[in-house]
Amino acid sequence: MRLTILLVEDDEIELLKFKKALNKINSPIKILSAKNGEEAIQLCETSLPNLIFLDLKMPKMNGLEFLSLLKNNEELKSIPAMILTTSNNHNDINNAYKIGIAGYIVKPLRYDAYVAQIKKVIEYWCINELVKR
Amino acid sequence: MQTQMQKNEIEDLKSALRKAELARKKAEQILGDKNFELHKTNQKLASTNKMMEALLNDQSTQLNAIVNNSSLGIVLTEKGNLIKANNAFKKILGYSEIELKKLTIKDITHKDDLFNSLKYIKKLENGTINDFLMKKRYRRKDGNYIICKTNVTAIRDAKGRLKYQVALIEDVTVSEQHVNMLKAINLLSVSILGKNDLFDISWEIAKNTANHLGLEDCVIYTVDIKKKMMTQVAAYGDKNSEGYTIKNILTIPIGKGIVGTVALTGKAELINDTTLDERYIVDCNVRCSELAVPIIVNNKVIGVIDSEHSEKNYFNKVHLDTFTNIANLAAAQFNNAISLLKEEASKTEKNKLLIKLEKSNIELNNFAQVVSHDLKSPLRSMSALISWIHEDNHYLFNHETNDNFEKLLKKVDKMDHLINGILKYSSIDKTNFTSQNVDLHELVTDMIDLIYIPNHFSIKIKTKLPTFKSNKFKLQQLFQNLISNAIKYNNNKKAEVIIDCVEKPKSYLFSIKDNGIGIDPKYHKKIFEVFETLEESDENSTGIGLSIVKKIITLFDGKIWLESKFGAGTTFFFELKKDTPKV
Repeated sequence: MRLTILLVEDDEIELLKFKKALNKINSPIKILSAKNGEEAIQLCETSLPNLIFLDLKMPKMNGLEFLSLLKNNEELKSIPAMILTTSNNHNDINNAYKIGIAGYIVKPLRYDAYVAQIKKVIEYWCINELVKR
Repeated sequence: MQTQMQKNEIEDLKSALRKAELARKKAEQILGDKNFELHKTNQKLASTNKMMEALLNDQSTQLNAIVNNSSLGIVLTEKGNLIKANNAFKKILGYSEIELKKLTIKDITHKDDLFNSLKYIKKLENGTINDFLMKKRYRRKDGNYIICKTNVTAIRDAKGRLKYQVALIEDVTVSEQHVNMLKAINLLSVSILGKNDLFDISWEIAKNTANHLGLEDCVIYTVDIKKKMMTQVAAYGDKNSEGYTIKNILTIPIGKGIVGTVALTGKAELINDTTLDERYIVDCNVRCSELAVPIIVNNKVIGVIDSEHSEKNYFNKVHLDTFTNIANLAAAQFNNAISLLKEEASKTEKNKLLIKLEKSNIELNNFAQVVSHDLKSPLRSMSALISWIHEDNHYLFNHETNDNFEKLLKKVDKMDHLINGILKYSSIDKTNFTSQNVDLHELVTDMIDLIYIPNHFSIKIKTKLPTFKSNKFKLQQLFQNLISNAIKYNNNKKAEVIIDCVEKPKSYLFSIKDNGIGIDPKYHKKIFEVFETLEESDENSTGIGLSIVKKIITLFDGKIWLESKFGAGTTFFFELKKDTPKV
């Protein structure tokens, strides 16, 4: 089963980092990416990803706005979305959980640590029934 | 026989004659006596008459003496004409006897009192009353009016018709004025009580003073010391049409005119004849007498109460005293008002500053948050990029370059530490400040289990820590920072940290004692400042920890201090209130 993951992130290097990290995991994963909330919603509707990783700070439509839109959409609201951000601000965390998220990951500084975290998360979702459908 | 008879008859006659003679003599005697008596009586009568006359003269003199020396004015009138008046009456009204005789009661009565006066006189005439008492105003020869208590008694002829009237008058002008003045001051003090607007107070003073003292006008000036000018703020009389407006507000330089002089000298002026005073400034109409009294607060003339009158010599000492009293009253009230205004102004200023400060504080915190987060993202990218370059090329680099890559990453680490420090520091604020019951003992015990403690270290809690209402998260940050510090700066082989608490009536006094490297007293204050670290090249120290501690303590409205010597361990003391302040 091929996992389709949508990364909503405006920073190119972060996207590269994410892709590189997933390359190190030996499982077939399809990566979709969107630079902001608007693009992301469109992608969700056309491609229906299994998992969404979401940055909070983005131009046009920010992470929380996109999340609200997603959770209010009957077709899309069951897609698990996880926050992948540098912010460990209490308000951000609270607000994200209020709207509905499957996880909140604060990006570690070191690349190695980042890869390790992403790996764990992907592995978790790979054994998850929901994603398998 | 006949002769005998005749003889008898003769004898009889003779005897009768003798008798008659005797009776006549007796009658003569009586008459003489009576005459004498009459004469005596006449003489007595004459002397009595003389005595009576003397007595009458005497009484008349006495009566005249009484009448003329009486302090009461006494006047006899017939049908409204003045017949006779005593000295006091002449003196009170200022007329001579001849002048008085040409006048009628009507001539010397104030037109406003005439109606009442005539009403009483009518009653005297028709016999309904025999006397009356009224207070009325008389016009003096100099044109001024005086208030007199007047007692009028009717004198009637045999048929009971009104012939004369005797009037006793007492000049009560001064005492009446005193009463009025007192009343005016009382009413004024009531009316300005609690008022703290200078404008309101001024108008109350002008209105009350003019009304209660029956003045033609009353104007209040305020002094602008900076501009050296004075302006009318309230005016009662010709100057105001209606409501609280002044027509043609007059502005006078200090020192000019009578009012300006008063403002300059701080001394009251009573001008009996303004036409003789060259300082006089015509405002609306020329008025002949003027009274101006300064309002003095803290030895400074802040205003002047002024009144003018169309008649000369209108104002007297009573007016002056009253104005002085009113000025004192005004000064007190103005002073209150001014200090209240100042207080209010400083209060609003303070509030404004506080709001501004709070706003800039929030802005600063938000700024720190935003900037920190914005810094964190590129730092992560940088870290990744450095890792990749190193990963892809490490076999191409020599040992030194590889080493430098490691150093580069460490600097990135340090940068991240600092940013996290700023984030933590700026996130301690009033928002998210909820308080609940916190079991501090459990909290600290759990924390000790969680944080990394080297093997040679012992951490003890000496007495059971209390449970009290506070903010759990912030308490955790507080203890964590202090305990971490105690561990970090300790190279003792038998290192130990002792946590203790003493309960006070309203607070808890906590202490965290270590046997570490200690802190030189000269740094005891500095260590609580942001980014202050005592070891220069310390990779782990951000200099944020203790400033976070200080910020939390401040937020809790508590106190923190330390006892320490360099090389002899440190004890941090901090006191937290049992009731957390409402934030």
